[in-house]
Amino acid sequence: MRKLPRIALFLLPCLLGLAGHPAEAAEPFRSKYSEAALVAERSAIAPGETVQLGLRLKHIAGWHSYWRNPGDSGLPTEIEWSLPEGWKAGDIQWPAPYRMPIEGLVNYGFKDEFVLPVAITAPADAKPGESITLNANATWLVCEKICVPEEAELSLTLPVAAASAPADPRYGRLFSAASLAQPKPSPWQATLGGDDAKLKLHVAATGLQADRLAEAYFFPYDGNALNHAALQPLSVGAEGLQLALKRGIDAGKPVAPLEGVLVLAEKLDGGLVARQAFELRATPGVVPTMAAASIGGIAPAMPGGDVDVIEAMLLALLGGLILNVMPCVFPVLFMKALAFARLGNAHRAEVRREGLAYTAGVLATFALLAGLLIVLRDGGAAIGWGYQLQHPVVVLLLAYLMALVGFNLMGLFELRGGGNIGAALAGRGGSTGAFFTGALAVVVATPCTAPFMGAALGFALTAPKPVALAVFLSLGLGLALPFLLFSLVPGLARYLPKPGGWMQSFRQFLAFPMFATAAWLIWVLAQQTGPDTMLAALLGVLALGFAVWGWGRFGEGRWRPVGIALAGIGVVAALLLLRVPLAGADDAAPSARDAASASTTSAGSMPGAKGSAIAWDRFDADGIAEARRQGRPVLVNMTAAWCITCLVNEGAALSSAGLAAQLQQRNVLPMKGDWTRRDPAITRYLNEFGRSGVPLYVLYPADPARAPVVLPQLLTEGLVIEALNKL
Amino acid sequence: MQRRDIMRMSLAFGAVLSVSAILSGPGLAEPLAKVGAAAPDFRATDMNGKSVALSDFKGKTVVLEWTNHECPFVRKHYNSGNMQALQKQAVGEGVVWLTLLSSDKGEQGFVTPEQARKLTAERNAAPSYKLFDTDGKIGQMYGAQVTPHMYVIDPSGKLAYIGAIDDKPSTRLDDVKTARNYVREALVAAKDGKVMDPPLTRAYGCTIKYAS
Repeated sequence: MRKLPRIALFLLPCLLGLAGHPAEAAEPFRSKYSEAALVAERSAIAPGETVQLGLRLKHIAGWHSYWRNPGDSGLPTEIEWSLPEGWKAGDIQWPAPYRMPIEGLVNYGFKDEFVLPVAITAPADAKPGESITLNANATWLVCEKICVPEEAELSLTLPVAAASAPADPRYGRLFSAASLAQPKPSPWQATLGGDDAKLKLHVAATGLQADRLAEAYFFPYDGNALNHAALQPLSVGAEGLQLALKRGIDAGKPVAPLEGVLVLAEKLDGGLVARQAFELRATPGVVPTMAAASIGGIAPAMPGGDVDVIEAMLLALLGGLILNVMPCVFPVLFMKALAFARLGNAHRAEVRREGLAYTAGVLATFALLAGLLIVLRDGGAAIGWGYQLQHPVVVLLLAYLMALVGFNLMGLFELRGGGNIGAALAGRGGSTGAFFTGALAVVVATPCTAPFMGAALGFALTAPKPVALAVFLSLGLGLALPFLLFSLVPGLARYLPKPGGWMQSFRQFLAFPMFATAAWLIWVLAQQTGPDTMLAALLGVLALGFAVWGWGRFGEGRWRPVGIALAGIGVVAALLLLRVPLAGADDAAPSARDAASASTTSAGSMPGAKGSAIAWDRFDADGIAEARRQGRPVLVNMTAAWCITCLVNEGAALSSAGLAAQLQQRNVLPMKGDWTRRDPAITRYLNEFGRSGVPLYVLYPADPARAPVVLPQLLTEGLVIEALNKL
Repeated sequence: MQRRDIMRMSLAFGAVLSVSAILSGPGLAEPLAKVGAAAPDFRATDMNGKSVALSDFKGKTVVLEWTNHECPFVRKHYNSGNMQALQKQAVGEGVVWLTLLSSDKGEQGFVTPEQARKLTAERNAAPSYKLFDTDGKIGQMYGAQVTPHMYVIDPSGKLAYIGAIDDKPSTRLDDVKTARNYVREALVAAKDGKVMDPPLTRAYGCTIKYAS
């Protein structure tokens, strides 16, 4: 009697023909809100082998369950195993969660259908042919607005096989999603600064491009560390990225190391957004100040509230209005307004015309900006607008412009002649002048707005063209509005102070904000490049000052040639000095990129991660055809140092020893192209596949007659091996 | 997808132009109630129609308990008898126990005065007063996020403890036996004139169904 169950256990599977059949879950748990079952990634387990099992949960629409730190409310899902002797279960391998705002609070969890994976290890003495039943008690809290605690006794019967079994196709999709969402070790150092109330998380992810980031969010493991509901404003600069965090229950305590998951959503080709998760531990330390940061407020990730186009346009309009009082714009506008006041009511028609012309100038410039963006986008230039504005030469040119406007306000020189920018600045020149004043206002506003313009334009990259255009024109209208009102409403001009001698003094005074802006820009430049460029910039401003002094002093009468010569010398000197940051940009800026790209080219791995087992050849379009002629398949990997998804793919899927062995066995030629610095040959190759960016993975069968296969942008090892099997 | 981008774009404008106040949701408003600070006064009507103010209980220790009888976390503490025992012990020691109902009409946990009286009797609960905060003003002022969210006000009128009822965030009834009960500890500390440690914990429970 005592022996019977053992024999039955041994024989029953054979009798029922179960041996070799895939893992069988008992009836799944079903409630009004959830479906739950234990599932296995493979159809059997070999003695001593570790196989991914998982709790498969499926919630009805709108309901969710929780991550290890549930956020402001809720409970983490728990699995308690009761396993036969010798069998071992690991902890839940939590995928990166989603942020779920509810009633002013924020929870971290999962929706719809997903798997929480757990590694199960069979004992070395497990007998092939046997079937083992694994039992688990799972508890979770499922919530929409209200919450329901659920509990299920689940079991799974797993055959023990002599050798590793193939993947169970039924759950491949779920396990592969869980594996993609699994936080990878952060390739970057993380530092934490802050005070009693706020923290700044600095991640030394150098060379990232702000406009490729759709989202950045840090999920802390410790529920007391952060205020979950607070937004986490993001800055991206040359030094890396920073998130501004608000402390939670632990506020006021000394800043302690912070552990958690950083989620970076990267915009890829074809509107695809790759959500990459990194596990990191930030240690308290000195957080670097970022020189020229592109700032983006990153919105809640998952269910995201709706802001319609009208609302976005209104916000943009408000933003434009605020631009009017920015230190770099105000002086220019004020001078123009005073010119209006001088004209007075006698010239109403003229004032109105100028107001409209000015508005047209502002709008045209903004339309030009938006157009440029669209051209850049369609041209496949992944180099973003934010980056252009951060280019050292552009920064220095803006500093020059600020200084020039300052010199002009000081009265060092006046510009004459109708219709040019200078005339508009001086407050003369009629409609054409007013039009260019508008354009100038947008240009001089750039240093004050560049960071946010960069971010906004970056976001516009994925917005449809008409929407992006509408938002940017609203911003322009906001900028033009105060001035437009002055010109259109006769009564308003009365509120302007009466013209008089004080105007000269005030005009000179207004030069100081312009010089201050120039000083700030030169500081930014020094941060970007170094002290040499700073000296060059200061000398450049000096040369410009010399030029405008010469022009102002001798620009008229019989000394005019002298004036022209002096101005010429100054301007040429200033322009020659631009070469310093230009050279610096070529040497210094890409040096960090080179370092990063070198690591991707040679080691083919994430910085800090273990090296790749695959020996990549350098990409060469002719080499593909050549290898195929020799009967070799080719795997092409197009990457860039600033592409997060590329790094993740190379650190995980493309660096496994298993894949390396497969490639070698099949005589596949692996080829890698590094697009960090936009190699035109690679750009052409990407275009052939209808792509304007990386990553791109292409697998060529050896037979030249057969078409190449484009692999997904998000890779898993299994996916690549599957593609190889189909060759 | 497009709408979200527009929202992000708007948020970018907002962040840089420091108009975040316009964008921030109600959850980002700072509550008035802070550990160590004076508990803000309020007035509310109780289930028997009596108007009660916090300032009526000057010089006494006061407990605030946010509740929602349908919330599984609240049920854990009432079905196990844990909450009632705490209430009885506290009230027996001269503590004023105020149970607050902040669920909006039509939301989970909303009750009429009659239902409130019935629930109190059925569950053998013993709060000093059960107060209605249907518009959520008191809850928002105190930053109450979940049910049960617990507050202990010492006799000097200062907030001595804010947070969870105990250190076992779960819905399992058995856990109350082994949990460290923070409210009990805070009451003892208040009685002894000592400082509660920790004075602030993360409350666990169901989000409060505030009027929007």
